[in-house]
Amino acid sequence: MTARDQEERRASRERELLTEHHDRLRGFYDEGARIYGLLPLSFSTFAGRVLGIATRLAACRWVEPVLARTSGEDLYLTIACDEQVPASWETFTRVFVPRLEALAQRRGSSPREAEEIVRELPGDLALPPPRGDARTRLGTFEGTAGLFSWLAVILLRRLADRFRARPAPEATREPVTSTGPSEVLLDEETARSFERALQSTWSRLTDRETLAVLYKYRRGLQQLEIARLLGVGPSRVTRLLQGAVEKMRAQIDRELRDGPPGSGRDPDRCWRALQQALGKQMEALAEGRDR
Amino acid sequence: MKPERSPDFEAGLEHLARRYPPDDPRAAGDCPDEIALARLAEGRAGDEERPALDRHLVRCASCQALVVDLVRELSPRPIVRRPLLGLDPVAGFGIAAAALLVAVLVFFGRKPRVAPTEDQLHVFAAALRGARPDLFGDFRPLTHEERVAPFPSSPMRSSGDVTLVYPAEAILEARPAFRWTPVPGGAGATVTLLRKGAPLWTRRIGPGEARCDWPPPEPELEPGAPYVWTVAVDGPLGPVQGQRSFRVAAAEQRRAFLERRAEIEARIPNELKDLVVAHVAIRAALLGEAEAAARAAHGRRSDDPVTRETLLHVLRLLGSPEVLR
Repeated sequence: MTARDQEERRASRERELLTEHHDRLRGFYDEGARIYGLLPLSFSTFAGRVLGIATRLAACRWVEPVLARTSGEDLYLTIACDEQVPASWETFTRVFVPRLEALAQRRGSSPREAEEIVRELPGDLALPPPRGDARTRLGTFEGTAGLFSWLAVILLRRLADRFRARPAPEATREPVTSTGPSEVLLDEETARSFERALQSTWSRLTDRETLAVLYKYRRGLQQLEIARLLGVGPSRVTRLLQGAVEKMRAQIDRELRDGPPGSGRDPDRCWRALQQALGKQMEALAEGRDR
Repeated sequence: MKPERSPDFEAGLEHLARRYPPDDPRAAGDCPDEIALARLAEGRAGDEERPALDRHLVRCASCQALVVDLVRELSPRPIVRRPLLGLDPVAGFGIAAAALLVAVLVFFGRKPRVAPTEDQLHVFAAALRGARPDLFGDFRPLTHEERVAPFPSSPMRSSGDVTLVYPAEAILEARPAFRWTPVPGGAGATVTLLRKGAPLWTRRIGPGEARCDWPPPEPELEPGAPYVWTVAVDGPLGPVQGQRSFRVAAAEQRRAFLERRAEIEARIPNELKDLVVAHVAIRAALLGEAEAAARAAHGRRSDDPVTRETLLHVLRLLGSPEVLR
């Protein structure tokens, strides 16, 4: 098959796809124009780009399920920006920069720092991407999640990098001479026993059980949020957590009882010590609240 | 034997999960790309990618913290974090009530993403002007004051005792149908089309009728030419008559309007395109096109005040008796 035949075949396939998915693409375009305002982006350019993304993501499978999950309205803006359509970058900046600045501040940045880090973002997104056909990094957005979420992840990663790069405050370099109300003080032996028990316990849980426990007990997420992250219903989260907690309790007890010599060998004592430490912490917190 | 659970076990677990998490950056491998984490936080991750993401998140504290932050950010209500050590019931209730109040305020006080039709109309008009200044350079949608004016200015209104509705002002069709306000008790009507004062044709319409289709044998109207039509009705109190002038759009005006309409079809969201066409047609004095578009817009969004005002404005321009209903 000659190159010309291939090109004709590709063009014919593109026409077929456009006819087949016209209504959905039109819906994306209209919704994008409704949310972001009408931009001088032609429908045919938009539809061609969206179909290109969907075809690539679908690999050799159906395009329809990919389109069904696509944030087409956001693609309207990102494609317009990538195509350098007049007013598109201004729209992008107007819509997203204030939201991202607010997010950065909620995540602990000062207003100045938030402004500084967020203002860099549009410029960086306008740079050419390392690979792919898009002209800009924003043009690599494929619409499989919301544009705000994608930008938020980029921002949160930058914030995390910045916090990591920041030198530790002088105060933390000093030896700790007193404990704050949030400290849980365990004797060294009990702490070591729990650490060892936990290391062994995590490996007994499935990844989903571990995540359910971490999301709930380490991160304080609520049932519905855990369900969203795990891609299951809330009732399934309850069952996952119940199972995981039982497994952990049993495994921690076993580890505490059967641990190496000198590691306590008394689960009840370890739990009591932990409860007492937590009780003291509760009192310290209560005193702090009353003051 | 099933281990007995102490009431404080969960508090202990909180401490242990924070103090001794399974973090292991080396085992976690490369972090997923941003879009994958965004999908996960939105609950849109595919079944095929979840196992790898889960495996990574178990060990990578920074990605875990990131998706948790994003989930909190995307949550429709403020998250009250479960305290490490439970507060007393009163304090807990207070926090829950405050959270509910904030959630309700956030929910009900949130500015809707959809701008009012008036704003959208002007935004789209500005965008059309920017995109095709050659077609829309002078286009301004009707203001509220214009739409609700009781007697819209129209130099070619119907005159006489019978109100002639259509054709009026400028028309695109070459073979229009004629409509007028029925005269109660009228015993038939005579419709006459004139050009330069000379009748082109006359037709007799039966009692109770207020419409006359274009007579098939008559030649089509000439583009750009002005016409006058009259309707004489044998009323119960004697003969009454009305007359109205109109002109057929010249080829250039017709082409410009059709091009504008095509551009609107291509660029404006479905729910607004008829309304925008109606405003463009009103500005071009193409009342027939304006009426059709305004009716279509009203059919789509009958509860929208701007759409209703636009339709009523067109009906007033035409002199249609529907305005009185």
